[in-house]
Amino acid sequence: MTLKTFLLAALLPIAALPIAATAQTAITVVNPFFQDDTLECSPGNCSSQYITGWVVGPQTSVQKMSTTQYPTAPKAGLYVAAIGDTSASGSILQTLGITVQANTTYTLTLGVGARADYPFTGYLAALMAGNVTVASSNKATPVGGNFVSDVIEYSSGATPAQLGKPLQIFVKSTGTGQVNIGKVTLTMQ
Amino acid sequence: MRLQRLLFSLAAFLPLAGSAQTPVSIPIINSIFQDDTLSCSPGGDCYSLNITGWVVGPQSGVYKSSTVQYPTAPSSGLYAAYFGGGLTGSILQTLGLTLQANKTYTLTLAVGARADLSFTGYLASLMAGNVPVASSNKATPVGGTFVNDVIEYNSGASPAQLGQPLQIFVKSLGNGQVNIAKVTLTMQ
Repeated sequence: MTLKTFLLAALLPIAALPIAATAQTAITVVNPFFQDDTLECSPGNCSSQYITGWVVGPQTSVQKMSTTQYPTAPKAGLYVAAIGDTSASGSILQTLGITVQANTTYTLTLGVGARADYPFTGYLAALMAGNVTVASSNKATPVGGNFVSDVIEYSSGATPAQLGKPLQIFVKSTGTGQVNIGKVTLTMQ
Repeated sequence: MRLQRLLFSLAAFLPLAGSAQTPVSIPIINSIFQDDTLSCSPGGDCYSLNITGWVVGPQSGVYKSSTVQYPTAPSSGLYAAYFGGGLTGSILQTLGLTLQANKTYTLTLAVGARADLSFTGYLASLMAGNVPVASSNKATPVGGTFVNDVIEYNSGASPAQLGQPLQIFVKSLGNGQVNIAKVTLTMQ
């Protein structure tokens, strides 16, 4: 090995360091695709109250949708969190295993769906820490039978008020319709 | 004379330093049970199982009562947590703070008894790491009223549950129903 190739081999990992240091890290969410619960019924009006890993509000369940609700749903059904209905608003909440750190950017991404056969009247999604909202959004506007991603970013800064508090993901329905959540991911960088 | 005035001014300022001891409110999700919206008319049949932000036991949910249940309820209805009625029920919330030493925690609950259902008692606890550190069941509301139960806990210099997450827990006793309209927790 020449000196040149030796130096190249030695320096390459160092050159790669800054990239690795800023890479996004996935934060573990329990049951992020709402597929941990298995429903034996045929897709469609196939639901069950409560959702594994999530604290649920009223009229909130896991539901296996068919092409009636989402035209692109697979034949086996599409699992979602079904939040709220005409009788009451609903919600899902999960407290995560990590706490807010300084100088970190958190990115919460949600697949927000509107059923083709039921009204969608809005939602509010929030990244929280220690029961306090640090970032929120309701900007996805899916039309019947589709999912749209809502991306919520939170940069904690040097001295965040909620430093060291456990992170939480919260979604609630607003109005008298239903919101479906098909996927939840959270990363930090 | 100037020194005397200066000392007098400083002495007058001293009580302000005590403001550091002002109680600090600890965030509670859905503390007045109004985060959930029920579209039904207020009354005995206007309720739904589960409550946003709270882990619930059997027969536990959010309820919008009318003047039949609480004579002073507004016409738009009075939201409260309900639990129990036939079965016992409960609500539990884990907070974002952990137990600290040398602090006084004050948990205040508005405990209600419906005018149209029996009230057979409750147990409210401040917990840390799933262990009760202070409990009470001393509020005795009569039908159609709410009464505050104030639970105080002084953690002392070396509490056994130091560093454990704080929790609020309330359960019904007997076969009656308990309503909770408001929960607050402060630390000092």
